Order: sequence, then C-alpha cells, then structure tokens
Amino acid sequence: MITAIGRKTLSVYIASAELAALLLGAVTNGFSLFRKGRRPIFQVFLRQIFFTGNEALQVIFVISLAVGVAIISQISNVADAGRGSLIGKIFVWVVIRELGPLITALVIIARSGSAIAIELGQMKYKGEIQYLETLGIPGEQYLLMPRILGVGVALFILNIYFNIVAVSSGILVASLGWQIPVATIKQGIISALSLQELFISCAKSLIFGLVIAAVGCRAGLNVGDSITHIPQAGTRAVMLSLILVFLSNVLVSLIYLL
Amino acid sequence: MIRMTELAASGLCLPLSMTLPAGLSAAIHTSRELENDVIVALLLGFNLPVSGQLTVCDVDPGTVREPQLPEFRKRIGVIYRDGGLISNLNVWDNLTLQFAYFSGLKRDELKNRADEALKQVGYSGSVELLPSRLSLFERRVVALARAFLIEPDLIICQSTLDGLTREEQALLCRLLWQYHNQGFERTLLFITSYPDSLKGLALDFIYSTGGSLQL
Repeated sequence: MITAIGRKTLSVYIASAELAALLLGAVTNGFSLFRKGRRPIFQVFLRQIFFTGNEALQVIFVISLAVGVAIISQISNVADAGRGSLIGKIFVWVVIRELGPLITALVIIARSGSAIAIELGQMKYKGEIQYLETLGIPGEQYLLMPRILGVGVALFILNIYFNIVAVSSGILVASLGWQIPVATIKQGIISALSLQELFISCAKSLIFGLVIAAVGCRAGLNVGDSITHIPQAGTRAVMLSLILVFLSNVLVSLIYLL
Repeated sequence: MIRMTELAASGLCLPLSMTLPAGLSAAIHTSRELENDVIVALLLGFNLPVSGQLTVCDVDPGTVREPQLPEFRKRIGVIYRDGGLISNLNVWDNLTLQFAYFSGLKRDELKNRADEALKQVGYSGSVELLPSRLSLFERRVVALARAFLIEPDLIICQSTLDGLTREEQALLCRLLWQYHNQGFERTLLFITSYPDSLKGLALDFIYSTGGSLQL
C-alpha cells in the first residue's frame, strides 16, 4: 500500500516536472521565433493557431450561443427583470470569468489536445523526431514550442470570441424574450466587467491553452515502440488535460480571491 | 573525417575500427539492419558508445553540447533507408525545411535553390505530395536533394541502394558520385547489410562489422 502510494506520488512528481520543463522550454524557446529558422517555426506556430482556433470557431459559436441563451434564461427567471445590474454581474461572473475559459478549453482538449498527442506519438513511433534532429533541427524548437504557444494564443482568442457571442446572444434573448431593455443589461454588464475580470478570463484561457498543449506534447513524446501506445497517448492527454484544466481553474480563482 | 577505434556499442556485434579520410568514400557492411541504425545513431551523437573512440568531422559526437548539435549535424547529410522524410510535410516542405532553418534566405531565393536541387536529382513528381504517396526511390531522391541544398561535408547512405532496381541504383550512385567529385572534402559513407548493393561502386574502403565480405 505504502509502496503504491509512493510510486504514484513519484510518478505525479515526475509528470509535473516534465510538464513544467516543457512549458518553460516553450516560453524560453519562444524567442527563437524571431531568430534563425524563424520561417519554418513560425509556419508551424501559425498552422497551430489556424487548426486550433479557426477550425473550432463553428463549434465554439454554437456552444457559446447556447450557453448565453441558457444562462440569461435562468438569470431572468431568478432575478427581477428590472435588476439589470444583478443580471450583468451574474453574467460576468458565470460566463466571462468561469464558463468562457472552461468551455473553450474543453472543446480544445477534445479537438487539439488529443490530436497533438497522436500526431507527435506517430512521429515518435516512426522515428521522425530523430529524422528532424538529424537535420540539426531541435525537436523542442520546431515541434513543441510552436504547438504549445500556438494553442495558448488560439485559446486566448477563442475565449474572447466565446464571451462576445455568449454575451450578445444573452442580451438579445433577454430583450426579446423577457422584454428587459438592452441598455439595462448592457449597463449591468459594463459596470460588473472590470479590467481585473477581463484579465482573469484571458489569463485562464492562456494558461489552459499552454497546459493542454504541453500535456498533449508530453503524451505524444512518451509513446514507445508499440503502435498501441499512440491511441493511448491521445486518451491519456485528454484525461490529464481535463484534470489539470479544472485544477488550474480553481487555483487561479483562489489566487484572485486572495 | 571519420575515425573509429575499437568502437563497441549496444547493438553492434563486434567492435568496429575504421578510418575514412575527408574526400574519400567507404562502405560499412553490417550483419543486420539494426547495426546500421546503431552506427548512424553513434555517428550523429544520438547514442554513446560503450567503449572505444569515435571522431566525426574532428569531434567526438558524444561530447558535442546541446547548443552545438545543430551545427554539427548540419555538416552531415543522412539518406535513411526510407528517405527520412517527415510524413506530415509535403515534398516541398520536406525539401526546404532544413535549408530554410539554417539559411534564412528569402522565399524567392529559397525557391530557386530548391527548384535547382530537384532538377539536379531529376525529381519530376508533384511537390505537393506527401511522402506516403512517393515510391521508395522517390523518397530517397528527395532526401538527396534536401542534402544537396545544405552541401554537407559528409553524406551517410543508410541502406540507400537497397531494395531498388538496377536503374534506380545506378541513378542514385551517379548523383552521389557527382556530388562527391564536386568538392575536395566531400565524403561518402555507405552503410548496408546487403553487399550486393555495393557491387560496382568505386569505393576507397570497405569495412565489415563481422565475417568476411566478398563483392
């Protein structure tokens, strides 16, 4: 029992250290975007933003629309239609601060986190990471850094997009369905939406993006000699990303409260 | 260019000794495919020998520090058995990746040089194709063009002539020797488990990791 706990603790410690090293490496290597070999690395970075961000826009649009409508319906039922400031506050707290970063992160975990793990896993399995290194191109610069930063940037943008659509749809439904004046809700949201709230939302999305990509990269790089390790890497990346995103969400919220 | 003295490593049947001066050509005949991978990994500094000494381009690959590795590996072009192309990049991106990374040339200049390299190796297929759509020969030809762009001092051919038709072998040999003869320092090393593929090559040295070798 004690051995099992010790082994588990050790594996968690190693995993955390590897993830921290990946994130740190991505940030420090980020400067190489502006140095030698900028173009190929920059292309991977842009491609990652495109695949993670642009291709998830439709899904995020539908979900944010639904979330905006659902939240405003619930708030309007609970709060008095005349209390626009309360509606605005709840909207900012629930949608912008919590649901925006979380839901976009969940979509990206499902779409890109597993995809990164499988892609890198396949490259590792086929020996292509060694091929890259043979060319003198460090894997962490060409494969890891642009993916980690790319997903971080994409999630940051998607979160802003999510919030705009969710808030707009909420305002529209509230004014049409509950006859709450648009100006009242708008005023409520603006008064509740401080720079700090915006910063928390953006910081969360950026952190989630970096974590999801780092977890995917680590899972892919840990693929061994068996082809069955590749789908396992995808599953592992999804599960670990889910846990870490929720944990870091709590952590950021707690830091904010303190 | 390459010096091995009683080099032993996990995966090598017997300790290997060889000397390949710059500007010459040689072949290492191995007893199995695994040995080819091991030798290439040793030469590039991916693996460390258990014992013995190794120098490539006047340095011990095992002692090259991480920041210097790219520059060291840039001096060596490797044509792997399967070409060593990256499967999710098309022919063009595979061809230009290393060159763009090291040269920092502008797009137009890069295109001209890459087109030239493709013409030199006689690749006439589409540059938009992914490596999985290419034949083994085409993959190796693209890998050769990629190496030509960087102009390495040493080209290592890992089973590059294996599994090809006689015509394809002859074409690859012609390209390799053309490159070899264009510069004083340009060195060629073939590593293969099939001695048949070395027949007819005007090699300066032939080494074997085990047993006798009859060409």
